[in-house]
Amino acid sequence: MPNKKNVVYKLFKDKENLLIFCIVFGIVVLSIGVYLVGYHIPFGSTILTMGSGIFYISVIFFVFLLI
Amino acid sequence: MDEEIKVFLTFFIIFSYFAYWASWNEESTYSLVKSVVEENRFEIDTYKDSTGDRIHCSNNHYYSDKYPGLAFLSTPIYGIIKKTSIYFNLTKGSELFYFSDGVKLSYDVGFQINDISRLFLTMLTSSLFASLTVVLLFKFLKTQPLRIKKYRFVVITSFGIGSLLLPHSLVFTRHAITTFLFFFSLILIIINKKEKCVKKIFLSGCIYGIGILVSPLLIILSVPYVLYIKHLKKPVKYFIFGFSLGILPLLLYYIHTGFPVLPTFIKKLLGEYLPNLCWDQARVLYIRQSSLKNLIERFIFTSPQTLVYPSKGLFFYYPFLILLLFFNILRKKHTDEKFFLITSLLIVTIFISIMPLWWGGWSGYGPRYFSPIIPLFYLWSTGIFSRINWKIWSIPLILSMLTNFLLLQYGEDMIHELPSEIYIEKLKNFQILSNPLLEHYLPLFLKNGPRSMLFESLILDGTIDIRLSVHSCGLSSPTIKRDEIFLSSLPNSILTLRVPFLCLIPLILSLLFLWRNDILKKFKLNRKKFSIVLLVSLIMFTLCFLRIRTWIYGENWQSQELSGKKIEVNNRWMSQNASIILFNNNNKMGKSNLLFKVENFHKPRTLLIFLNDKQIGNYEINGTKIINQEMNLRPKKNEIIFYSIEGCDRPTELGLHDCDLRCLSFKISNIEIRNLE
Repeated sequence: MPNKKNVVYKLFKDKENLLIFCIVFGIVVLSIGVYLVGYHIPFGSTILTMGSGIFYISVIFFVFLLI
Repeated sequence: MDEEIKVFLTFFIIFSYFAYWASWNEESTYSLVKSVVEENRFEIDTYKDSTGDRIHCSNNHYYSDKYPGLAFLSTPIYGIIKKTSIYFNLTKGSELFYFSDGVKLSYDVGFQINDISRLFLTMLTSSLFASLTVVLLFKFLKTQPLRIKKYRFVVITSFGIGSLLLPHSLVFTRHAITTFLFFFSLILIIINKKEKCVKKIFLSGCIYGIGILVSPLLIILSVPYVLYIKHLKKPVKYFIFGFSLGILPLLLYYIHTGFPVLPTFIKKLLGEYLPNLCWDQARVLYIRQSSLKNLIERFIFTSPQTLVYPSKGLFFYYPFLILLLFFNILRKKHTDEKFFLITSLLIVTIFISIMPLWWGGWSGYGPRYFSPIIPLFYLWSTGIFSRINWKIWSIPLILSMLTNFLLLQYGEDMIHELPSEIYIEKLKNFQILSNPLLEHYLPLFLKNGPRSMLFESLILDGTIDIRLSVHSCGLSSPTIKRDEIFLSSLPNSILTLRVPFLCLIPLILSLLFLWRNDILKKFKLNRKKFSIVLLVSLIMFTLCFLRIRTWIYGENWQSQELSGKKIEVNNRWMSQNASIILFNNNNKMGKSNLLFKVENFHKPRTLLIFLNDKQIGNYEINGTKIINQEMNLRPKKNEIIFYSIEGCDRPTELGLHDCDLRCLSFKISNIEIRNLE
């Protein structure tokens, strides 16, 4: 059984897994950002921008590297 | 450099180069971007005056009436521009106000941060994702058998330049990104057709969900899409998991804003639980008034117009698509793909036909919702190139590409201008409603050439303002601001540079530079020969743009106007002052006469005429007057300035002409210079 460290290592070793993780992570962060901006919480827009940025860059890399 | 990178850069350069900003549509999304980044909220109250595409909700807040996906994806770009702008000394301009249907709206002039943002937002969203769509198709073609693979450059050129992708890659609207997300989601599934790669199916679902955040069209396209996935025997549940995650930001946005374009029946359902939902009364009323019979009638009458008629017909504008469609239908194999394409086309046609403004005015090609399904035409029909004689497919292909070049102009809304009785009569009798391609775009193309707003604003004004007109109401002139620019004085005349078609030179040069190695290989040239050929062609090409004149228009003239369908070549409105540059080819002071017709705008005005900074004339103008002004020209270059003492006025501020933001004083016509000596 791989320990936690190995799982993380495997995840980041494989480009495909890493980029899929980044795209999904970007969507999750974007959703949190939307939720926070809806309540006018001060750092909401920063979170939304970060999530959107992660998604944006990961998609571009995915198109060039993995398809 | 990799082929894919070069393909990407080629299309990215083309799309970015012709990028422009035309209407309230873009401003609406831009307002949301600014609200989120600067004010940490979804209400666009601060920026509401910049666009008419907005919803005023019962909670007394204004919202953008566009789906929020494009705005969310643009926040990092605007955020970076905003953060870095503090290190530069960017100018702040002023705001002009205008009226549209009695509503006061604003138009900003000279705010450099807005100019930079507009350019980069368009380039890094629509242009970039459209280029990525071309790369996706290119990569897909590489996996195909050799007989198809060898035509991959023809296919991507046809897709990138000869299809609906081009007009939408130039503007900051959702259609190019929707096309990319839809196609990306599909490619993730079909590229691994034989394997059940759960991760990619999940990812495909996520991307599709984000696609719905950008455009509502993907909601209805999801039916044939899911059926197609099911037919491929892919585990649909993973797609749905991903889809649920992708759609999460939209649902959260709905909860906070009660998004105005949410379908009415869902609003009714949610209304009890979320009383603060925002309602767009106009749309609700439209849906309530439309019975099923009414909608079917609309589909019957408008679908020919959206598919084949010159008014806005997809296959009229892009005849190559009809060839691809027939090829797809006539094939014996691939029934699932055939079904997917035809049902998608039918669904989108129904969707467009029942829209109140189905023709989509002010954009190059109107029914823009067709754009996401365009890649489907190419995906399974590329065998056409190897199986059919090139003489058959090359003509519609060239026509489709030519259409897109013609569309690089100021838009039109001819159908909206028709009186309602004539519109209904023509529609119900299946008559042609308008023919903008031949009546609007072709004459303008011949006058202006393909318009690159970036190039025009750089060369004429030294700015990077890519807005196509002075406002979004469509009443400004569709012609280029200045035909010729002063280059230098020759011994006995003025050397000018013609602006129309000039923008093609930098574009062609940059593309040649990008593909130089491949060109060298293909034509078996060495670098030296190639440089000589390039230099000679460049000199020849540039020579075509040089003109020798005795006088030219200088600064502060308004563009030429359209009078009916004719461009008024000899008439120009001026601002408070405007100049002309003329040349005296005698080596001594010489007497000349300046003849012109002048007309004042709105009120009596005093016209002063200056020759080389010395006043030579003073005229009271009330109506139309022909002026014959004697001048004593110095040798070589002279400058005449027309000046209005009372300044200039904006028609919109005087309530004379909605939206017309030009500052006008005099209309000067038929300028003629007669040498007396």
